[in-house]
Amino acid sequence: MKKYFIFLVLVVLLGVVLNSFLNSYIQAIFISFMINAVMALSLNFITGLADQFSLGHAGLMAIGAYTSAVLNKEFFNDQWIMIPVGVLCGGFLAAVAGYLLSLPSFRLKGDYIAIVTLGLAEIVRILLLNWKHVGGPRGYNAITKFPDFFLSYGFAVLLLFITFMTMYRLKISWFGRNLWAINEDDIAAEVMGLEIAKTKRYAFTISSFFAGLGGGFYSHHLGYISPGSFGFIISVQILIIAVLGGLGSLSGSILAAAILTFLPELLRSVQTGSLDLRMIIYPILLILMMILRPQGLFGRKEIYEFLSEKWKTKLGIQL
Amino acid sequence: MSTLLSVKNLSIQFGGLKAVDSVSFEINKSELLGLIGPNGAGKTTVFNMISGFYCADHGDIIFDSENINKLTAAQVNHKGLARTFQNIRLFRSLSVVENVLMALQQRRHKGTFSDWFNSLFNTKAHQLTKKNLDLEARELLKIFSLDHHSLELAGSLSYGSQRKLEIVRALATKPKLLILDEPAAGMNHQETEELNKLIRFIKEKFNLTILLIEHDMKLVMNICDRIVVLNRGKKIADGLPKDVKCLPEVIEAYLGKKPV
Ligand SMILES: Nc1ncnc2c1ncn2[C@@H]1O[C@H](COP(=O)(O)OP(=O)(O)OP(=O)(O)O)[C@@H](O)[C@H]1O
Ligand SMILES: [Mg+2]
Repeated sequence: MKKYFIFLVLVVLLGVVLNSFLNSYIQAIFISFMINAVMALSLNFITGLADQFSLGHAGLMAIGAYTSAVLNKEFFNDQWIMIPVGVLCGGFLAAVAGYLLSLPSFRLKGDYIAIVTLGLAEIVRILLLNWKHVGGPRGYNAITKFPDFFLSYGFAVLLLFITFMTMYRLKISWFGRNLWAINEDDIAAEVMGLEIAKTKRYAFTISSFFAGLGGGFYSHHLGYISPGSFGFIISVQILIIAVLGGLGSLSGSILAAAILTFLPELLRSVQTGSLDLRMIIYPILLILMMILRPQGLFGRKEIYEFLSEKWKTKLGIQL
Repeated sequence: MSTLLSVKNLSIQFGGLKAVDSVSFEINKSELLGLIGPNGAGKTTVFNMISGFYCADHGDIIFDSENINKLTAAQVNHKGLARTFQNIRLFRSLSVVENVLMALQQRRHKGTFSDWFNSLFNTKAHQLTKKNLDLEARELLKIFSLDHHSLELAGSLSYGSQRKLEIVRALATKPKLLILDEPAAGMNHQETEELNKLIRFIKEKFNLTILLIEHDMKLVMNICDRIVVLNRGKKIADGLPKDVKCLPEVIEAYLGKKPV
């Protein structure tokens, strides 16, 4: 219990600092970081733990985003108090989409899944482009927002916390072990009596749910979404975060989300005139990373696994 | 004596090749049956059909008086049938104990609502189950004196230990029938001796019926109660080791025809 209390105090402290001493630009970056972290966790659950390469997470995010945005604006009378309900509905709809997609496609293996998920994302994007009621290509704007930063921040932290805890608890449980086993050798896993397709389906549905939540909150954070906000490049960016942090490492995903959200913003300061050094430094860093640590920052491990035994007991972490 | 597994007229064809051609045999409860034959005789293919990987073109597989023809590999395992592989298939980058746990937990966690709830909220019940599974896995490893390796990665074990671990993992699913595909392949003389003892031991200890494919004739003749011989997909002999050994068809299959 104590560690959760300390965590809460730290979170509130950070919130107060952000709220009272820093400008809205930096506040927005912090929230973006948390959304990116949720998305990367969601992808890592399916790609890192279950070895199912997904290139369609932006599509699931779009489902969550549009669902929540439309519900709040048109059915919930634009009241911020209803935002969590909208976001939750967005998560559920994304989960349904993910489940339906997984029904036929988890007979496929490996890279074919990437193609199917990419297909889903494109279908969603094109449907949205042609759906006039939500603005088509112009996008959907004036989406319900939280009235102040503190609420928005609190919701983001809660979302990230729930996402992380769910995935972490599942990772260290029987379900996570089943996923590892499939990842290692699916034939052997099946012979042990594990129904592989079903297990993968569950993993994909859970992952989709959180992608939907992330997308839902994203729409309320920005107040404006368009089909272009959920293009292929977004799926790739989410993938880059997950890979940088280490496929299979949840804490790695959060750290990588922080790095890849803050770094480009920090690098803005080195921008001089027309020469955009940012676009040179950023890819060079990624390439260096690939050469020096191809398994990602943490590999498959969680951050505490790098601690010594003494610290582990001190922090009350046991496996 | 009652029959545990009976295979009737089993056939499968790959393209033009009749890999298994109308093979029938039976295994009685607590019997140790050897399945032998030269390379490419179709032994592994028979195993693959029994364990649910290939669907036979013709014939029936009756296990415990139930037809298991159409079941998937996972369902076959649930009926009480476990196997190992000719080429070892461990979860290599999982630890030794995790390998066993993965097999053990399949009976405990079927993905019910309470399974999900307990692991999400890390309840007392969940912690207890976890502890018990862990104890059970370690006990099992101890029997096979693999316990001091339990935290090492499965892939880093010596070859003989990996074979052993694969057997432990299969046993952890609590089978009635254990199918071993060339467990002595690649083992040296001493390791084979140990394996010989091990197989006898687990058969008694876990009250098992065992179906064994093996090339090592000494091992087969030593421990099998009965032997079935395959050649080119067909069964050519079925009987006691000492009788089968002397049959001209069997000698011919292994050594070729005597010049006249
Ligand atoms: N999936 C498959 N597709 C095509 N041919 C196959 C397949 N599986 C097995 N075969 C063929 O069937 C025949 C029997 O193979 P099998 O592996 O059952 O032999 P085996 O008796 O186990 O031999 P070994 O002692 O070498 O393991 C071989 O000719 C093999 O090439
Ligand atoms: Mg074989």
